[in-house]
Amino acid sequence: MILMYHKIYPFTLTHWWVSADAFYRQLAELRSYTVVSLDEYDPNNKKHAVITFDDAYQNVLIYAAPLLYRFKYPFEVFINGDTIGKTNSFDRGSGEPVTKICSEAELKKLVELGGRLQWHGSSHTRCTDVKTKSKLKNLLTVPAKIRNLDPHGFNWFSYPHGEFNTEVKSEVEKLFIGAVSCNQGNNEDRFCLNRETVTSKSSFKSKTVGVIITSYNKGQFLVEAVDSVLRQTILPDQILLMDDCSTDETQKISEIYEKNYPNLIVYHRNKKNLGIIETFNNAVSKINTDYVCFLDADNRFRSDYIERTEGVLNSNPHTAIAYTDFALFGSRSASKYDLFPPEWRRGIKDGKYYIVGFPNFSETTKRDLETRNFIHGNSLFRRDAFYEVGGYKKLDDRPEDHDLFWRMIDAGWAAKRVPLALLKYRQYSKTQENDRFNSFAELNFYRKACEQKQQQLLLLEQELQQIKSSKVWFIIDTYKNLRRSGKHMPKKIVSKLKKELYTFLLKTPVLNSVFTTVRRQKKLSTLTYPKNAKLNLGCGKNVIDGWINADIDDSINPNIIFVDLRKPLPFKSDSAKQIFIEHTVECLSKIEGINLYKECIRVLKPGGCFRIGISDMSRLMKAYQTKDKYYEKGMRTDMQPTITQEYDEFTSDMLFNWDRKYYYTARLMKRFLEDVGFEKVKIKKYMDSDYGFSYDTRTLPDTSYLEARKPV
Amino acid sequence: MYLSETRNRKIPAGTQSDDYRFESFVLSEIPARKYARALVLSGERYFNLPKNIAKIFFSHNFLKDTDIITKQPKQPDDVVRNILTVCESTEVMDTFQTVEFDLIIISDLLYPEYIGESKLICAQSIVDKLEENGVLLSVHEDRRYALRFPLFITDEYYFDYDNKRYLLEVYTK
Repeated sequence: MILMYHKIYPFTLTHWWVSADAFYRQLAELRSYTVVSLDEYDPNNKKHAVITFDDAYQNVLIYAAPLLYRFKYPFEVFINGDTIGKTNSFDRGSGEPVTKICSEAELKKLVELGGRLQWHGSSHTRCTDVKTKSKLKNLLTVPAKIRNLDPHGFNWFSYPHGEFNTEVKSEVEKLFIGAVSCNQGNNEDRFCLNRETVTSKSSFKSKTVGVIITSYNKGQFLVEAVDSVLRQTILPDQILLMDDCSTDETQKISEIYEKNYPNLIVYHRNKKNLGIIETFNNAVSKINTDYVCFLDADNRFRSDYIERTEGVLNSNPHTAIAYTDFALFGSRSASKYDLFPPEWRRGIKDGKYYIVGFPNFSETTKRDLETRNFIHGNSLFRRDAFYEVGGYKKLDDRPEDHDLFWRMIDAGWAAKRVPLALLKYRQYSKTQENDRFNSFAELNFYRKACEQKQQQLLLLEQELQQIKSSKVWFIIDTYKNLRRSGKHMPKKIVSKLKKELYTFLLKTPVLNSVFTTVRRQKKLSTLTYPKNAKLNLGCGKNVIDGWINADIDDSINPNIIFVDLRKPLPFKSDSAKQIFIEHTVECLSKIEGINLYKECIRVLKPGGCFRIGISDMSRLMKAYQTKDKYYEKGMRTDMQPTITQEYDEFTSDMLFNWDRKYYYTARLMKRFLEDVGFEKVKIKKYMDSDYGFSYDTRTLPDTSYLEARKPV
Repeated sequence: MYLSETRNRKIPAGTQSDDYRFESFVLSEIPARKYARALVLSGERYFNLPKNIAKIFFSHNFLKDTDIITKQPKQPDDVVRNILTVCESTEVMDTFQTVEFDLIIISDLLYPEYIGESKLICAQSIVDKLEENGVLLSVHEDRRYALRFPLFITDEYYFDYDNKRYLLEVYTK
């Protein structure tokens, strides 16, 4: 792949600007590729990567070049002849900020830092806009003065704006050994190789890294360990906090971390203490990354641990383990240090850190590994290799990590050392385990958690304050006070004041809804419910005299009581003689509908009758297919007199508009009614009833009626 | 010159006593040894180092002069660029005849509002300017600071000052 960058800067101003941190991360990710120059690039080699910059902005010299030099990556810089030492005037009007372009001296510095200068045209004009051949030639020719800036460069051309045609390409073929585009090219033709536009979000990661932090009653050190992973230069993809059923603060701390980093940290607690081997094997099975390393809760990583060890595995496909040196610290580190062979002891830093430098992995040292371990247990390893050798095993003669790594090496994998003390390895006695910083760190962690809670409390208090300062609160407060003080006032005045206040309150939307609810409940509680009640549910305008008419819209008629059919019916069980529902259940979801039928069964007396009218999908379709004239005419005149839709549109509306949530056929409704417990379910015609129902309103051909009975 | 000698100095006239206490506390945490060349990169404070230490101050004036908070590309005055320039420029370094320091103090500078998304390159440049076995002392407000230098930490402290919690880190190269 060929990568195309433009600007590297601390801030991402437009998508052409890549942040310096993102650029650093991308360079680290490119370690799994071979970064080559354009001359060496083989389009068929999936592991080849080329880094290119267009326009030679000054920020490339400041932010990108030092990093590229550090990573020892070659890079190509395409320059325009007429903008050297100036600004990107060619971007005027495009919204791109004015940005400085390298001067000749700065371009030379880019070459010193490993860059190669290539040609982007004598100006940033589109090659396809150039009319004459001589002008095109001028555009493509590199002046001698500029060529001298890099004697090894200017062999490649980058089409300005990525655009070219066959004429341009044939001219380029005469003057250069290759050319790159960004949109028009392909991955085969050396004179129009395509490039990938890189943004701050681009990632070239091919492998993922997971860190497992294990703790068994090491909660007091956990904050330090987790923070050492969270402050890595390159963050891992997953962190697993593995708690082997600790009885200390491990769980509390881990849960807070998991909550604060939901996309990064996962906490797992064993139900009982399983010991090292089982816990470690379980942990690896719970983490889903290509590379894995353990970190004991009492140890700490240096901030470049992941970056450096991951880099080793990325650039060495046959290496399964990346190990480092370490620094012992804590009260017992001096005595532990003396146990290491003299050639491994690399000195004492600041009187308290004992540096242990392990040997490099080679054919000679490989033999030593069987008897003498030099790969510490917190090394980064490939998960595949772990499973290949069967994970951790319990042995009496060798520690589990030594045994695991030896089996990996024995299976043919290699190991590689990072010769830096990137791990701080705590050695302490139980009585002295709590050192000063650890207490500070833990205290700070709790303070932060406490601050978060305080922040939440503050927000809640602010909300309460807002409510208290709102009009509604003022009104309620006034009303309360009025009731209190009203005891000593003449009744007439109190009543008048109350009435005025009530009228005023009704105007506020919140209180209006509160009063409406109260009013509805009051209406329902004072309802005279006859012995053999007849319920007309979802009645709409079809109010039947002598029946209890219920609907969600009770504003149509004062005789209607408010009932939401999506909720349990507000009637007693075994209390109604008849229930009638017509063209209502289509507006409920399937589940809401089934619940309603169950409720109807509950409310009906044994032997009570039920009649339902539905819009029948099969009849509707039949009417549509046969272009039933009555259907069309009837719909328009009877139901929607003002409707002006076309026939098809109207059918579609029937199915999907008017709040329809579910469509029935008579057969389906029959099944549903039978399923909830109705008996003698029959499909009936308009006004045809076995139980004396005579209130059907819909004569349209799409309507089906069904009748049923609650079993005695 | 041992920096510990600065601990019990009298507060100079015109200096805020609180700032002086902060400075004294920070300087007292520097490992006791002889230093010859110091670089002080301080975003919001001034450190009164002994006179016989050759030193460069990257002062808070840089921050005042920039529009970095508005995130406008005011290139020549950009904070990060100045950090890198201090670390890279040979003109500045000529004063010391060497390009490395045995003591670097960095205080209240590596915050996102000043350096945007470039903490890694800043940290790397600063580490590059530290000579082998040199000391780097970093003091930043914990809430705004998310970096750790790729060096060996020898000491760390949290302390409260001016209603803020600071993290003081001492690194050795």
